[in-house]
Amino acid sequence: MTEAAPTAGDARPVVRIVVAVAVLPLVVAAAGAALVWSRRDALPAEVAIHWGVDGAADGFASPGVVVAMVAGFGVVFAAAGLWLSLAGPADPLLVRVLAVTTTGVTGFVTVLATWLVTDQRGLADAAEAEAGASRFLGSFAAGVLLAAVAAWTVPRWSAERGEPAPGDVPRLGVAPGERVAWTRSVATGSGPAAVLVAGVGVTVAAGVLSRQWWMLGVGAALGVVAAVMFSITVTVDRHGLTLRSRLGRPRMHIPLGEVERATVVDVRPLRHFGGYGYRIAAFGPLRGASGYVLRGGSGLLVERRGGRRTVVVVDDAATAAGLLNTLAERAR
Amino acid sequence: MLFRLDPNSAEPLFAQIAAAVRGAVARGDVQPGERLPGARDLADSLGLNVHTVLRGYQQLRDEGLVELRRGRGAVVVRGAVGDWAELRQEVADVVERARGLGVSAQELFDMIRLEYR
Repeated sequence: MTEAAPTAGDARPVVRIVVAVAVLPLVVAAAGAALVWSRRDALPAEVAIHWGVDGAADGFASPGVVVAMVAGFGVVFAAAGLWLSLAGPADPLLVRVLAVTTTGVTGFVTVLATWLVTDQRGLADAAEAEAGASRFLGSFAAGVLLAAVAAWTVPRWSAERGEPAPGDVPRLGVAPGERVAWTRSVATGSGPAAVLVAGVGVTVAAGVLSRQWWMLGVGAALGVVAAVMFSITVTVDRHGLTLRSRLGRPRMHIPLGEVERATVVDVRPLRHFGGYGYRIAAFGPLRGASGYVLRGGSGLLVERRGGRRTVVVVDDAATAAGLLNTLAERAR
Repeated sequence: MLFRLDPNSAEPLFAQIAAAVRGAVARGDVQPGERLPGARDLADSLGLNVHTVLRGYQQLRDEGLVELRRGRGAVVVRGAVGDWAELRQEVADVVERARGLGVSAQELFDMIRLEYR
C-alpha cells in the first residue's frame, strides 16, 4: 500500500454552513422588510432614505421600495455567501469569514434601514426625518451581535484535504549541532504599491478639496496600512516561522510545535485572494488559506495543527519550507 | 538568506556569519540598499550573543560590503555588487536563449570555457 490515501476529514456540516451564511441573513432581512411593510400605513408616502453630510434628508422613496431594497440586499448577500462557501471544498476559516460578513453586513443594513424608516411614522413631511448617531451605533452593535451568532453557528471541523506526495514536502539537511536560520524580506510589487500610494493621495486631495476634514483621517489610516504592508520580513529559525512588518508590528508567529508541514505553492493574488495585503483565499487550490500576499509568485504554505493554513509569498520559499519541515520534525 | 553555522568548525562564528552574508549578496538573495536582519533578531534566531553578530557585520563593513548606521542597522552598499546583478541578468538571458536553441547546460559551459581562453 504505497498509495497516499487522502486524509479523511470530517464530513462538512452543510446544514449549519447554510444556516450561518444564508438563512440568518435572509431571516434578518425578511423580518426587517416585514416590519416596514406592516407600518407602511403610518409612514409618509415618500420616506427619507438618504441623508447628506449636513444631516438633512436628501433622498426619498416609497415604503414599498424600502421593503424591496432591504429584502433584495439580504437575498444578494445570502446568495453570494452560499455560492462562495459551497462552490469548492469548504474551508472552516473561509466559511466563518463568509458567515460573519453576510450576516453581519445584512444585519447592520437591515436594522439601520428599518430603524430610520420606522422612526418616520406620523411625520407629515419626510424631509424633517433625522438620522441620529445613536441609530447608527445601535445598528452597528446589532450587526456585530448577529455576526457573532453566525460565527458561533459555524462548527469547527477538519477540512477534507489530500495528503501531498512525499516529494512535495521539501527538507533541508541540518547537521546535529548546526545553527541554522533563514530570513528574507518581501516588498510589495510596484503595481499594488502604486495603487496604495494613489489611494492615499486621492483620499487626501478629495478631503482637502471638499473640505471634508475627516477624510484626512482616512488618508492617514490608509497611509499607516500602506507602510505596514509595504515590506515584511520572513524568518524561519529554532522558534518557528515569524513575519514582521517594517515597523515591527503587526507580528505573526507560528511556533515549530504548531507546524504540520510546509510546502511551496504558486500564489495568484488577484485570482485567488482578490487583491494584495493580508488576505484569505476564496478561490483556487489555496481556498481558506490566509496570510501575506504582497505580490504574486511562489510562496510558503504552512499547514498548522488544527487545520489552519498560512501563506506568505516570498522568494526562495523552497529553502524556507525545507528548513521549517526539518526543524519542526526535530522539535516533535 | 540562509545562515548555517557550525560551532565545531575552526572558523569562528562571526566569520561564518560574514561568509553567509557575502554568499547571499553574491547570489543576489540580498540586493544593494537592502537591510541585513537586525543584529538582535539574528542573534536570537541563531542562539548567539548579539556581539558575535555585530562582529560579523563589522567585518563586512571593513570589507566595504555593508554600511553600519545608527538606527538603520547594516545596509548592503550600492555599487559594491552592482555589476554582479547585471552580469547575473545577462547569464539568465544567455541560459534562456540556450534553452530555446536546445543547447544543453554542458554545451553552454564548454562555450563559456572557450571564451575564457
